[in-house]
Amino acid sequence: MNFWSRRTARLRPRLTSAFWIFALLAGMMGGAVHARAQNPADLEQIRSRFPAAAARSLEQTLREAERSGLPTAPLVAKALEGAAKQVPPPQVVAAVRQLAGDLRRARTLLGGRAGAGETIAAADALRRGAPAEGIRRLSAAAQSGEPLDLTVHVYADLIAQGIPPDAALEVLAAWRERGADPKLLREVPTAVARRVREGASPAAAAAEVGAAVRAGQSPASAGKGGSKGKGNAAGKAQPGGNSSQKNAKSPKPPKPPNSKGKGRP
Amino acid sequence: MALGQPYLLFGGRGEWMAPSGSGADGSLTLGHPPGADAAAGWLAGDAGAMLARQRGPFSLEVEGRAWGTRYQEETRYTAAGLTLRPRIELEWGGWLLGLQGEEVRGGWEQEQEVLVLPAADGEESPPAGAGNSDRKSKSKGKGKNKGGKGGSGSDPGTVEPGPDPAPVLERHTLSDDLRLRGGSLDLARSLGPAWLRVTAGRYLANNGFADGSYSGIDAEFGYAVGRWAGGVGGRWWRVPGGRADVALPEAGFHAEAQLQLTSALSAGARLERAIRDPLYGTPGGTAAHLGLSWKLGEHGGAVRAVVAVGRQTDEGRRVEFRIRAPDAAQVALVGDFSAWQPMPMRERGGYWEGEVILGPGTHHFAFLVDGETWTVPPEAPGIADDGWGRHNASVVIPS
Repeated sequence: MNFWSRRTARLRPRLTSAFWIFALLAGMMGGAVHARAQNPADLEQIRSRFPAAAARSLEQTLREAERSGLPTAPLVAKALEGAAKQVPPPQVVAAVRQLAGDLRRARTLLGGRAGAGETIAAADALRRGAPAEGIRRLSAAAQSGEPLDLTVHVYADLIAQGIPPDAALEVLAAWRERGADPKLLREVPTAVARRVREGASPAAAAAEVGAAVRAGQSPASAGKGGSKGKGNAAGKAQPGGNSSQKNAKSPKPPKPPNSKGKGRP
Repeated sequence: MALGQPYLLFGGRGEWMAPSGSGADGSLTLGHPPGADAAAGWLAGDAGAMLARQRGPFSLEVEGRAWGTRYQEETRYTAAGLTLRPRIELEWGGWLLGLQGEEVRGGWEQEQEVLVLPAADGEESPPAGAGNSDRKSKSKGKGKNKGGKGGSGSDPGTVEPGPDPAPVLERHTLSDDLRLRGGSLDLARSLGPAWLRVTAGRYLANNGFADGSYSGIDAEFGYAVGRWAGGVGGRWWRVPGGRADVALPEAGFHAEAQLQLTSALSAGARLERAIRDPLYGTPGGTAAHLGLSWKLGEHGGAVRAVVAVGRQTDEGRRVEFRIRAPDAAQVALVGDFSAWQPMPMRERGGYWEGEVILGPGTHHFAFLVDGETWTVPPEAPGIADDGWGRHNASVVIPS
């Protein structure tokens, strides 16, 4: 046995022990990371509803998404949706992978400051056909405290209704100018859809709803009664009408007599 | 510019409107000069219903309305009319061009107490003040004076020497047709948060007070930013001048501002120089208004929403789901929030309803009818392809 052999022979047990200790620690840490990435209940549901091969593929997609910092809840939900709808497992795996790609693209679009909620809403909007540039502009112009996920969701609703992207952004700009009330925002797509059903072009419908919102009115008031035309709600052309009130029809009193008894009307 | 006597106004308004624009409304307003006796106020109200139809750029409104005012416990004015209002609206290059006609047919009646001064020769003289007002002079030969009640108890055919006979109050009623016919052309445009509108109109009016031709032009500009909205406007019209061949120019203006304090409460201020109204015939005047408006409530409307986001609870936001399926034996709500397990809904009048508490985020869902048919109503929010040939809807609960 030469010098090196004698030295390594003395070190071998220590190295072997260190190696196993290190491997054990690494395994524990990796396992701990693995456990934190995926909710056990979610994994249990996936394993119980999918064949082993599909379950492994889905879990791998979840791990990759987690390592990338993407929200995994929508991926789990998509898998469970596929199971509920009795979709063939390979198609479910493909859909979940595609959704992970959509989330990745949405996060890139919104920038690093976007939270999970905004990322999920943006991914949804992209899948529904909303232009990426419009989503980016909405995100860039978002006000402090604004529910950007709802804004993006409504933007996608308007695009799905055939509203031109710029017209949809204009309506949302009007909503922001009037205080960005979430309750008001939810009414916008319904109001636009009603105007389109009544014969207005999508662009005109969006413009009317935007004008109604700017005028401080409910989106549902767009195009109704005397409120035709952009801007002010009172569309009547009769002189002396109170143009600040929608359909102002309160009667004016007769010219008052100066005092009781004189009888002059 | 003298504003004259101040009034306190208190009123309420109710309105129901269908998605088509048809609807009904009514209002009641009480006005009173501060510090004056109880009889110095006035009470005004109106009620109306409108049927509206639209096809493309064409629209037609048919409106019936009645209105009235009781003034100082002595004067009662009522009117009713039917209005036909066709309109065509075209958009071109961001401008909105509207051409509108208006035809009003109806009638008015005014009852009031007037002093009657018996003449020295025992004959009744005309009521005091006769011929001094626009209304009476215009009703001459047209209005039907139904005479009045009351009297001094004297024998009208006897002239007695002594003190002048005291004037007596008699109740007189005037009535006449109410007619307005004419039209207007308006041009409007939105400029970001601002808007601009110019309107030119001409009307022929028969209102019993100032009959004749009204024609002129209005220009308005408005701006809204944040919770503020405001506008200014001016008008120049030629209105009847008391004789059939005379038309007088009248100029008017308004300036107003409104602040939306909460979703239900708003404050407003308005300064206005109004010109004579062709429908009512009332003369113009200058007025300043300061007011608060409080919206008591808003009904959900004729169309029942698939998703209604309700109030916040400790666990999240209460959300109601609704779908019309009168022929279904069972309907279940299924979504992310239930791990895509069916949640049975309850049937009520052909609609199936369910309620869930949802936390912040985007929640996808669909309805499962009779355990086998996945469906989403077309009016549901956030409809998207599920990737497998069906559709889901989605609702976003902001954090």
